[in-house]
Amino acid sequence: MLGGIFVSDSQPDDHERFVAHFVRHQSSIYSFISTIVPNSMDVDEIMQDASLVMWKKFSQYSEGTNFRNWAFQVAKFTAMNHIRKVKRDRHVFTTQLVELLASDMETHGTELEARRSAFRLCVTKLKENDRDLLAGCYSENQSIKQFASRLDRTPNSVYKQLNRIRRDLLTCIRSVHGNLSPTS
Amino acid sequence: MNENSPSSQRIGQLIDRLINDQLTANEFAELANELEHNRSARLLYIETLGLHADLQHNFRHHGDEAIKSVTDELGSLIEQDDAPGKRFPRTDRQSDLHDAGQESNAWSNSGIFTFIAVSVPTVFSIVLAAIIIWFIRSHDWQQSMAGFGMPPTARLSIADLEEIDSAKTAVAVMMKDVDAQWKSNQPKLRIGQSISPGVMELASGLVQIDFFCGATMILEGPAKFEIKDANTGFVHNGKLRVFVPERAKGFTVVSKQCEVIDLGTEFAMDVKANDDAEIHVLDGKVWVKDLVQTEDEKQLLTGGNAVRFDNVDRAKAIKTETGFFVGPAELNRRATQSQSSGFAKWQQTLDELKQDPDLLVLYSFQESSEWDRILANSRPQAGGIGDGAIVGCQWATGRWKTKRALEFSSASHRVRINVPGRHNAMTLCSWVNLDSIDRDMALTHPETEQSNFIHWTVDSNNTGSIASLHLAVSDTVDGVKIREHYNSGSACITSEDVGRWIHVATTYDPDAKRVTHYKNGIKVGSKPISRLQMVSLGMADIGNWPYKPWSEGTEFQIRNLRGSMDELSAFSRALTAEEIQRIYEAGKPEE
Repeated sequence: MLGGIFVSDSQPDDHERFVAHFVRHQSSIYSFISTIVPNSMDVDEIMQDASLVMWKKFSQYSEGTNFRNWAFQVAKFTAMNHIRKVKRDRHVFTTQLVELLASDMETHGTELEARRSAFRLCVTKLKENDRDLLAGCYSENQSIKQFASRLDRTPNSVYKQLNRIRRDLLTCIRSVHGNLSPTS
Repeated sequence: MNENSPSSQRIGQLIDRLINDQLTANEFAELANELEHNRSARLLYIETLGLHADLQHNFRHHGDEAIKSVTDELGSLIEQDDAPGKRFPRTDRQSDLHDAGQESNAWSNSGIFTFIAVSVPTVFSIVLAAIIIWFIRSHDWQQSMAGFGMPPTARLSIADLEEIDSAKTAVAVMMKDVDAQWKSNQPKLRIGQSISPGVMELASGLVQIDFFCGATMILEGPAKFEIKDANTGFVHNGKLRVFVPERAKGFTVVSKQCEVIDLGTEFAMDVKANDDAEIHVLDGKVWVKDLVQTEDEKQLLTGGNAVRFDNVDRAKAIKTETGFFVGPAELNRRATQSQSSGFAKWQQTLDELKQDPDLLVLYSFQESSEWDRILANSRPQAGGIGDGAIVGCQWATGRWKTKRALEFSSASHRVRINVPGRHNAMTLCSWVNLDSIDRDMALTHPETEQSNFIHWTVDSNNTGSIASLHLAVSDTVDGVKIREHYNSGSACITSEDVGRWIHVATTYDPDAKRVTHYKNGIKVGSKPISRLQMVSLGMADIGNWPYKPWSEGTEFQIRNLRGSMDELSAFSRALTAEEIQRIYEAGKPEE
């Protein structure tokens, strides 16, 4: 394995435990924040702030309990703080909706995690053309409009293709795990 | 909710538009309203946004499959066993990366961020970097890398949390230092220290700096380098060699004459005091732009080529000279050399100390066998007197790779010694590396059934951020026990010292009638002696307190040293400040 950070001879150390928990659940935490604050500009900042708070308050987490849910709580409060600050400039969800979404994600937490492995598999099944489009659209360095003009296409046609690709991915994931069911 | 019902189609459409940033205010209100009242709509939304987040996660590295697969492997390894502290076997991951066209082996071993960079997306790197930085600061980095065994953890104090806060502005971290001498106008940058944008001036020596973007730079003094941001640096003068992995493509170094944008993987620059600049590409390719003759087209320079900019020539092709620029292998070699010279210097000092007629005990902690349970007194002709009996402590690495130390990590660990003899004066010196300073700790603690003894301890103020040195001298007069306390005063040992090797010393001077405490060769406190008496070590424990039943449940019960010790000496005279400073200078490890 790479490097020595996870190698330990002695008692579990706080930082090692934190990094182990954090790395394992970072995708879920990022997903959680993206869902309750749909504006992508804010998600990174909230993720950074929430992660620091998780580290500072790590002593409040009881080893053996569900780290993901604890992290979700911290992320929720951090996000709500942020929402309060930006709500004049953006479309934001109400506190009620945030609570509802948070509770749903907690309930379906394990299921959502399982779907992530299916996601990775489904991405490999995509046509190369579709994968290239995703790479271009989701790359950090350009907006979709810029990307579209580079390909000599209208933004709308790119959006249409993106929507279709995401639907294909969802279908593929659902073929393994089914829909996210209200009864579970 | 029926998948194909008009309302679910509408929801799906609105969600798509939300993700694509196409929603109008009315549409947003419609979607939010539907989500609030319809659980199925919410679940569809969560499913879709989750997919969108995973896509962002996945493709932010420009679809680099090799990096993704490493993340997966890390993730699955952790999933296999969630028990903290599990030992992960080292495999030849570096060579797998090499086959995938990634970093070369030499550089992989030299940067901690190779690990973080390949397994964690950029935005999280800042957070983990802050944590790793704290981790590095509280342990000797070179020591850790050498042995892959981490010393027991240090406790997080207020100062450390502030460091994490300030790490938010940091864009790089100091990784290695070989005989670096910094210009006097700036504080010395320590290994593990996070670096924010700004200027650094190296008078001589070598440093390795890891940028959070993933690039690694070796800077050789004399040099003046300015970090502009996580991806850009400005070299006023000096020699540097930069490794830029795939994910840090675009890393730029600017000088007065020209600008170099690296497209991967390795280049070097030499800028003289008169601004003349040479660029050598060791591997991969870079863009070179003339900043003086700005109308010139930027040039692509590939591996094995070099150019020179000066008052006569612009981008003149010259011969590459890779040996001229210190790379990671050479850096490591020099680091090892400088390390072993420190150890050699220390051994010499020890020989000098052994000649001191007032030497009582000298524990050099250089026992050769793991099984050694005797800590030998190196005083010549001691004949075994003063030898210590090791109880529980484990042998570990001391100030240098070749130096041994004893690790004290539990309430049962101690070294029992017996140094008979009463003296008018005394000096105690030790090199210790403390894991924390949140409790009182015994350096030497006597068997208190004796009539004359001393306590030498580190006293904590219980916040974990400051501690003092303390000498207590006890005597029995007409059957009555008397004890005098001499404390160095607060803020003598701080959280900055935790996890580092420090030298502590205390002198009992009957002529000056003073007890003086020193840390790292500098006086940190001094108290007048109110009542002169004889002092002795006698029967005592190093690193612990001979347990007494009455102490159970009181604050006195636990006073064991938590940390390592790799030298302890006692003299029957009070050493001068100069002598103590010389001992410190001769024994201090390279930072």
